[in-house]
Formats: sequence, C-alpha cells, structure tokens
Amino acid sequence: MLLGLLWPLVASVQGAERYPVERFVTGNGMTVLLVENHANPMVEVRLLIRAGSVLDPPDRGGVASLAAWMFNEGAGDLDAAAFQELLDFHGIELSAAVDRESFGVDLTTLTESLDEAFRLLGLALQAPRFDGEPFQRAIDEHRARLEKDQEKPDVRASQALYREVFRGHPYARPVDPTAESLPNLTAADLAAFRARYFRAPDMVLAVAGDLTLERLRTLVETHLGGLDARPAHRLALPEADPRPPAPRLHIPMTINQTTIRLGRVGISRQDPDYYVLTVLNHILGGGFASRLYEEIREKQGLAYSVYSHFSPLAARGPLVVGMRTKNSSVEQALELLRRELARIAADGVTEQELQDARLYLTGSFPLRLDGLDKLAATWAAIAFHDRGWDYLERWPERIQAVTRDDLSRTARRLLQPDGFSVVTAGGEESATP
Amino acid sequence: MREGKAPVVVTHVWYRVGAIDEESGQSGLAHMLEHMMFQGTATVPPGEFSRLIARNGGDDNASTSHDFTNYHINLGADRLDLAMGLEADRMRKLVLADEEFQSENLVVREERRSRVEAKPDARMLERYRAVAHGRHPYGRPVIGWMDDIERHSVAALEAFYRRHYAPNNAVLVVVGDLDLDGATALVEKHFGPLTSPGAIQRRAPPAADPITTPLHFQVSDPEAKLPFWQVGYRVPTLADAAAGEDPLVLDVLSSLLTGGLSSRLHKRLVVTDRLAVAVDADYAALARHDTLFGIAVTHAADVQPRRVERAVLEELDRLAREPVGERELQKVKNGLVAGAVFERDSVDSLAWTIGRAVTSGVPWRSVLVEYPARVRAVSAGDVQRVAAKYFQPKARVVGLLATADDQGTGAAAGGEAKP
Repeated sequence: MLLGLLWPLVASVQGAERYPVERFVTGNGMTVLLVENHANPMVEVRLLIRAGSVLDPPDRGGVASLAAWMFNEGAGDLDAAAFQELLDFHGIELSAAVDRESFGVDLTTLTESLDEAFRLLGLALQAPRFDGEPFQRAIDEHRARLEKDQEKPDVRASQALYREVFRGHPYARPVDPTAESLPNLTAADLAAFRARYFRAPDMVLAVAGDLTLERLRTLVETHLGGLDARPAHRLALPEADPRPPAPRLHIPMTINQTTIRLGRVGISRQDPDYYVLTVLNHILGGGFASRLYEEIREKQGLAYSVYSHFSPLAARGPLVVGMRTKNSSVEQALELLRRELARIAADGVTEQELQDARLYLTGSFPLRLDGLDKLAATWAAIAFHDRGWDYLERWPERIQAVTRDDLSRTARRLLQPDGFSVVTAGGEESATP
Repeated sequence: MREGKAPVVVTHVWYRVGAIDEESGQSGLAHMLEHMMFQGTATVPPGEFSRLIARNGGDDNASTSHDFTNYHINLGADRLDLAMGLEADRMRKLVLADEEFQSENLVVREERRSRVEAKPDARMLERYRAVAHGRHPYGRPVIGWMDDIERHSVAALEAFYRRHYAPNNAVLVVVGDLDLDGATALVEKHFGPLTSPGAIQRRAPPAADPITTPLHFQVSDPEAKLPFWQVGYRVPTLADAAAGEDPLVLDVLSSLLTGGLSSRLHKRLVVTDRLAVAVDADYAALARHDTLFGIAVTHAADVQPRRVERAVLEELDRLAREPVGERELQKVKNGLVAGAVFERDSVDSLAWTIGRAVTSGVPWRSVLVEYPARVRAVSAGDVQRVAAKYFQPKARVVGLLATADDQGTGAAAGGEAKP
C-alpha cells in the first residue's frame, strides 16, 4: 500500500535560532524532524516506535526485544547474509533495541549512502523476513545470554529490583525474553507484533546531519511511504502505585564484591515535580559533586561508583540508588545510604547545593547536544514523549524555578529510606579475601 | 583544533607516562596517581576540582593506559580559561595528603574488584596478557595487581609525580568552537610560567622474549557460565617505523574478521557453525610498543572449546593461503573509512585520536588526515602477506576460561600459567 504523501504541516519551531529544527508530518502520519548540519558528510537517524516491551503479550514476554534483535537479519528479497553484506559494504550502521516504552532504531550513514540506508531501513520496517535460520540463532543466542547474565551481579540485582518494586505491574516484567518465555516465542509472533504496532502515526523519525529538508522528504516518501497509516490501539497502562518495600533480597554469588540496589516507584513523565526531582537527584547522587559521591566514595572509600537515578515513564517509573562494595562493607554501606536518604528527606538541601545544581543543569546543556547522534536522539525523545517543542528553550527557566521548598517537599515524598526495597548480589562476607 | 559546529570545547592534557613506567612491585601507581590528581592542590582544596567544573556546566574525567595518562574537561566554549587554569595548577602543584590517599586507595581497590575480580572474562584476560607479553610491562594490568595496590604509598606517588608531571612531558589538546589566537594566549598565560625539570628520561622497558612455541593456558572458574576463549599474536603498531604499513593492514584484517555481521568470523562461528554467541578482534594500532592482535570468543551453550579453536585457526590460515576477494576487501575499507568520518562528529573523539597518536610517538596528521587514503591503498596481497607474517602457529598464545563443569575439555596443554 503506497499512500500519496501530503505535506500539510511544515513548521519551524519556536526558539529556532537557538535550537533549529524543522518538522513535518507525512501523509501516513509519521512525525519527521530534521536538524540540518553540513559540517561532516554523514547523517544520524533515530526512529522511535510505540512498540516497547510493555506491549508484549502476557505469555510472549520478550517478543519486542527479539523483533529488535532481528531488525538487521533480512528483509524483502534480501536474506540475512545479503542484508548484512549491503549494510557493511556501504559502511551503514543499522540496529534496533527496545525499552519498556519504545522500539528504537539507530541508523548512521555517510551522505553518499543515504538512499541505500533509507531503502534498507524501509525494508526492515515494512518487509522483515524473520527467516527460520536467524530466528533459531536469535533463540540460541538469547538462551546463552541468559546464562551469561548469571555472571553479572549488576544485571541480576537490577532485574530482581524491578520485580520487587513493580510487582503486579507490567513494568515488573523484564524487557528481554526469560528462560520461561523463550520456548513460547515463534517467528510468527514477531511478524504479528510488527504488523500490529509498526504504524506510521506511532513513529517519530528524527534526523540530524548533512541533508536538506527536500531530500529528507523524498527519502521518507520513497522508502517509508508504505507504512500503515492507521494508529495502533493504545495500551491503557495501570498506574504504578508505590508498593510497601519487599523484604531485603540477597542473590548469592562467589565473588568478592557486592552490588547494592535500593529502589522504589518514582514519578511519571507528567509529574509536576519532574524538574524538582531532576535537581534533587543531581544533588543526591548525580555526578562527582553529589552527596552520595562525597559521603560514600570520597570520605569513606567504600565504592568506585555510587549514584542515584530516576526514570520517569508513562506511568510512575523507578527511582534507584546503587553502588558496589567489598562484601565485608555491605552493612556499613547500606547504613550510610539510608542515613543520606533520611538526611535529605528530613532536612532538604542547602542554598549552596541548590545554586550549584542549577549552574550545572543549565550550564551543561551544550554538552548534551554536541553531536549529531545526540541531536537526533534528543529531538526524537522530545517529540515521542510530547515534551513540547519549546522543551529545550524552556529547560533553563524550569530548572531555575525549582525552590528549596519544592526540594524538601519532594524529598519527603520520595526519599524516605523506609520506602525503598533493597536487593544485594554478591559474595558472603567470609568470601572476601 | 577548531571544530565549531557546537558551542563546546574539550581540553585534554596527556602525560607521556603510564603503567609501563612503573617499577616492578608498584603496578597500578600511574593509575593511583590519576585518582589523586583530583584530590587537591595548594590552591584548590580536595573535592573542589570537580565541583568547580560542575558549577560551570562541565564534565571531567581521566584515564590511564600503559602508555599515557589522560585528563579531560568538557565545557561550554566560553570556559576554556577555567579548564586551562585548573590543568596548569595540578600539573606542578599537586598536594598528596595521606588522608585523601588512604580513602582513595580503598576506592581503587573497589574499582579493581568491579572491573576485574567480579568478572570471569576480565580475570582470564588479565592473566592472558601477563602470559602473552612475558617480561614486557604491557603484561601488567594498568589498574595494578591487588597486593601492589595495597602497598602504594604517598612517598611513591610523590616521586612518580615529580618525575613525570611537567610541561615537557605533557601534550595539551584543545578541540572545539575556539578562536585559535585566543586559545594560544591562554596556553601562554597558564602553562607558560610553569617550570620543567631537566629532560625526562623514560627507561626502555625490557623486551619480551620472542614466542617460538605456542603458549596455551586454561583457568576454570565457578562463576563462569559460558566458556570464553582467546587467541593472540604479537604485532607491531604505527609507532614502529620498520613495520611500514603493516598496522593499517592489521586494521583491515581486524575488520575483515569481526567488523560487522557480515565479517568472516561472525559468519563462520556464529551463523554457520553455531559455535559462538560473540566474537571480537582486538587490535590498537596506536601504542608505543608491539601489542597483541587478539580474537576473543564467547561460546554458545554446550560447545566443546576445541571446536571453536579449530574453526578460528582455520580461518586465520585461510587468510594466509587465499587472497581476499575484491568486493570483500572493498567492503572492509568502506567500513573503516566511514568509521573515520563518523568519529569526526565528536570533538571528544577527535581529541582522543590526536592525543593517542602523539603519546604513541605517531604524528597525528598521519592518522587523522591520512588514514582513509592509507586504508584505501591496502591490497589483497598485503592482507595475505601480513596474515602469513604474524598469525604463525608457533607464535600464538591461547587462553581458555572454562566453566566449572567444562574442566579438561579445552585445548590446554600447559596447565595454569602464573601471572
């Protein structure tokens, strides 16, 4: 089905002199963004599709992930070997990965190979083969990866934490196939998933680099014009309410270090305290000047890496504190982590800390946008999550508007140590050399 | 270098000192000193360095290799003065205080546990490099052996710092949206007043004994869930004038073998024979001394390691026997040239390439500017000749990480090797 593409909507964006971007919506409903830059003869593409792992059918966990793994394993007349040879011959990088909310495709190409790159992208989106040979290889490789993951304390702790924090909610399910779901998956499941969710109105295509808007229109019309114009049915995701913390969980391994993860349900992307938590998280555990870094690493030498992190999702996403320490220090470290959470929940932050965080979060903006890949990824996320076209422009004022009272209120709401589940993965104390 | 497409500037200071300059028994000292470089000077108190950078919207970090120690600060383009001021200050005025050293030494022990000791593959590769490099200090882990880290002292750090940290042992690389005259004036302002001690003597490291019979070793690890295997060969780098263009040909070979899903070893081991889930070649053409061309394979479940070894060695042998086809060679060159273009998108990776070249004793233009033409000049005959020259059966080093229930099924002949 080839829809005639119309260009009813072409707009340049408010604040265009600081963050120039052009955008249009295709006739079949795809949102397309372009940051034009001719400094280097290359193009970066980031495509986001509303086809994340929360859409996996209940008994088919990992189907989105497996479809992403197979994204460069053959399409149209090209079997896996032929498809991959063409990518490599033209120096094109094309791969896909999923998270809970999106199916993300990354494409990097020289300007001279743009046509071939978009042709292969279009084939992979519209005519994937899911042949038996690569499908079986995908299954085998995932089985091996599940084995290999058992070596990794961070992976094991993180998966267990999601299960604890989101128990009963779709976010608790792993993104990747599990040992239980893997035998159920078939190539037909992947094809059905693709047909159901790869719809042009559910896609955002952000492009940065050495091409004009006119060229991009032609490429999209020629290679992506056949995508289904009907949006997929949107999943009504249940709210992820905070659960009472689960009992502390330990995953025993025979290594001389332990991964510690504390986690709880945090905030959604629409939460009015999004910017407040951005500042709060930076002060608590975001970087080399944070409280956790100072107390746990600089003063006590208990960890090489210690951090806090939050992922706002469509529903409330995770808020995590993490570190690794030698087995004999686990209890001391946990006590310190709890103490820092309790301190910030009870006393908030100082004026100096707020000033420093504002300076960093507003001043570091140029570093977040200093490459074509970062530009494409940032604009794709802004459009995909309806952040508003003035998101970049307004970021500094929104950060500046955060007050110490906001921070105290949000710390009381989200950082009480009793609200966190605790998972550890590592050796017993006696295993420490 | 002016690269003005984003309003940022990266400031890299590269010291021509790394793990190969450590005394025996002091492994990890160069890296320990890298950590201490954030712990205060006569004018900047401990912890203040990164805080100052952050207040100015910047990011900073550092890294240590066998050949160099790198410090980098990324900032908005109007903050170059700050970056240069801080780097010049800690080049000569570091304060090594015992209190800061004690806790930072614990941090480095945790770093070693994270990077090496909690990872079966990394533990095996550490021993592998010790075996493969013999007496040459490239065989020593950059982070250091744990018992050496525990023996580091402020006195040893002080001596190492005084010997190696000075303008005449440093390379400053600044890339970004800058005005070259203004940047030059800032260099004079901050680094001009610094004094250098006399010429810095780098001792030549002991040469590794040549490998004349294949070296094999095996370790088994209760935490390892899949066997992990590596073969490697000693090869020259761009620093070796006598090697001519061989390092470029080795880059081509590396890409031919494992660069991309259509590469030979991926197709053979992962797709056709289904022996492996991942295969990667590792070769860094920018290093001061001969290095390793390594090929590492993560096995698929339930695969006999011997079968992996046979398949890899067959493919290496085929490279020496049969010329590579025209399209395949063209494909590999296209990929390498495209990769060089992609790399130029990041001011940070430009600074990395320049700094790594210079600290390896290689003119940076010969890499950054001339690389595409040099890759294009590689012929099928070059590929065949270089494969035959370096991938010799008698010169190979093979290591196997076996899972607990896989003991004895590997290719090991010599038992465990001592690091």
